[in-house]
Formats: sequence, C-alpha cells, structure tokens
Amino acid sequence: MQIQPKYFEKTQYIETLNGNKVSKGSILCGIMNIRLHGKTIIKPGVIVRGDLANVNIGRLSTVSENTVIRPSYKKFKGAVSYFPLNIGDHVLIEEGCVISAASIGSYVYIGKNCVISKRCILKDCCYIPDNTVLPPDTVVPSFTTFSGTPGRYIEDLPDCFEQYMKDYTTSIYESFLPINTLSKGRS
Amino acid sequence: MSSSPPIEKTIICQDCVISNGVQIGGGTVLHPKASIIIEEGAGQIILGENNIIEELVQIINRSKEKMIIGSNNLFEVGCIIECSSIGNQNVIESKSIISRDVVIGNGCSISAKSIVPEKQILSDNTVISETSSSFVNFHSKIPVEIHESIHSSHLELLHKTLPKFHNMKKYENKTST
Repeated sequence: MQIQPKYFEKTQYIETLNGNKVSKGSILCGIMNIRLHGKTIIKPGVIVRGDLANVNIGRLSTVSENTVIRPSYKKFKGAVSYFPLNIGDHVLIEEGCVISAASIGSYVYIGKNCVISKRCILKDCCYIPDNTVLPPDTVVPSFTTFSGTPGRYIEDLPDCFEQYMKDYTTSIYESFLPINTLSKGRS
Repeated sequence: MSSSPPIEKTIICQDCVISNGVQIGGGTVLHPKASIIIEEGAGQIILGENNIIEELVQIINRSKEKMIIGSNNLFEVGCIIECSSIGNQNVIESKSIISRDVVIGNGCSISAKSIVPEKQILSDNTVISETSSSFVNFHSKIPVEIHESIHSSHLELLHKTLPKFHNMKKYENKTST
C-alpha cells in the first residue's frame, strides 16, 4: 500500500541516533524512565508519563497527536504502586487516545479517541477501531478485534495481519520526512 | 478508611493553567496540563482538599454563580467539567463530559466517555455509564468503596513522586473574595 509522504519541519522535531523522531511539542515527563527502542515517531501534543513508572516503546511504533500514555496503578500489599508500561514493536496509536494499559504487544492498531483503561493487556496482533472504550483489566487475545463501549469481541483477524502491520508501520516511518530533504531533492 | 494523613501542601505542576480567583484546598494534586479556568465575568471556583486532577482535565466555570467542588475526588485524564457543584469522593473517568448546571452528590462514579446532559441532579452513590446501545443509571456503593480504599495511599504516592520530576508552580491561597 502506498502512503502519501508526510512532511515535518526539521526544527520542530528532535531526531536521535536510533532514528526516533520526537516532536518538541510533546511532553515527556521523567525522560530517564522512557525508553524508545528506535525508529519511533512521537507527534506533538503527546504526553508520556515516565515519572510515574517506566515506559518502553518498541521499534517502528507511532504515537499520534494528543494521546496520553500513562502507566496504571494498583493496590499492592496495602500500598498503591504504579507499574511499568511496555509497548511492543510496530504499534500504531492514532489521535486522542488515553493509554493506561499494563502491556501492549506487537503489531497492534489502536484507533482514534480510544480509551484503554487501567491494567488492560493487549496481546500481539490485535485491532481496536476508533472510539472504543476498553474497561479496566480487559485482556485482548491475539488476532482479534475489540470494539464498542464497553469493548467486546467482534471478529477474528486474518493471519496476514502481522505482515500488514509490519509493512504499514514501516512505510509510515519511511514516508515521514523532514521538509529540508524535499527542497534538496527538488533543487 | 477515608481519614487520609493531613497533607497540607498543594501540588501543582508547571504546565497547568489556573485562572485568578481559584481557591484550591490543601493536599490537592494537579498533574501537568490540567486547567482550571474561570471565564470572563463568571463566578469563583472553590476546590476542596485531597483531589487528584489528572492530565488534560478542564474545569471551566461559565455561569455567574460559584462552582464548588468537594474533597477526595478523582478526575481522570481528559474529562471536561462545567457543572455547578460536585460533592465528595466522586470518580469521574477519562474523557467524560459533565455539562452545565449539573449537581453531583457524594460518591458518584461516571464511566469513561459518557456525557451527563444539562440540568441533571445526581443523588449520592449514582453510577452512570454510557454504552454503545444504552444509558445505564443505577445506585451502588461498590465503586465508592474501591475508590475510598485506594485514594489516600494513591495521594501519598503522588505527593512523594511528583515533586521529584516536575517544577512546581507556586500557589498562594488567596483568601480575598
């Protein structure tokens, strides 16, 4: 599938050695606790709460505008504690989501304006369409679609979903280009 | 259970927007990007003690009367609150919208992404939840009990961790009316 290239201004983004592209308009709290494993795009308006617990985001993942990623908490031996949030590789999170899951696997698609409540577990290869609300402690199995309010099982996904997400996220990363390279190419 | 340790300090992170004339009780925690706004010509906002207000929450007063919010409430990420009064020990979950002139009692819980329409009065221990097919409204004490058991230790944790990572906004409790 061909994706229209998206251009961004080079001054608005920070590129790291691993190929992460992090917008300056995003708010990363507690940077020392946030690990981006490379080639991850973080767009403006995103809030990542590394101050509450560790946040790991895998390779070639994209987090779109105005999404909040915050670790979830639970009462544990009498005291409340926040626990780390792991997001796998090739994950695409669209705009306006609230993610406070315990873990998200690889090859996951999360649509616009979703609410992934506390301590949800999303396994590898699942699809969450727009405007879904997953209640707390939901487990989404592999190769399934969950949608609606509250999120329920809808249908199975084909085996090719893994390959599809791999290609899709890779092409999103590759078509996300700084505007300077465009002017160079033309001249 | 609800008797939390007396924490005097108010925690307000640097990115918050707070209008003049907002009174905030002791022990309240505001996460970054929360906003409490009084529109021009609108009345005061009075916040009680030990509330937790998470990211992107907007508390807006548009009416001319005072907006009073009680103690021990939890406002989760991205909810919008324009109502006239809120009691104690309520849980308002992510992305829910509470419209104008709504009165909320004590111990209510409003589920994620639900909308409370205008001029509703919620009595104590109401649970509201909007699903894709129906609108659920019933009375139950279970959500409040869970909230009560967690809230005080949650506050304690936030009071310990947040000042390590954020620049604090200085807040002086203005008693002028």
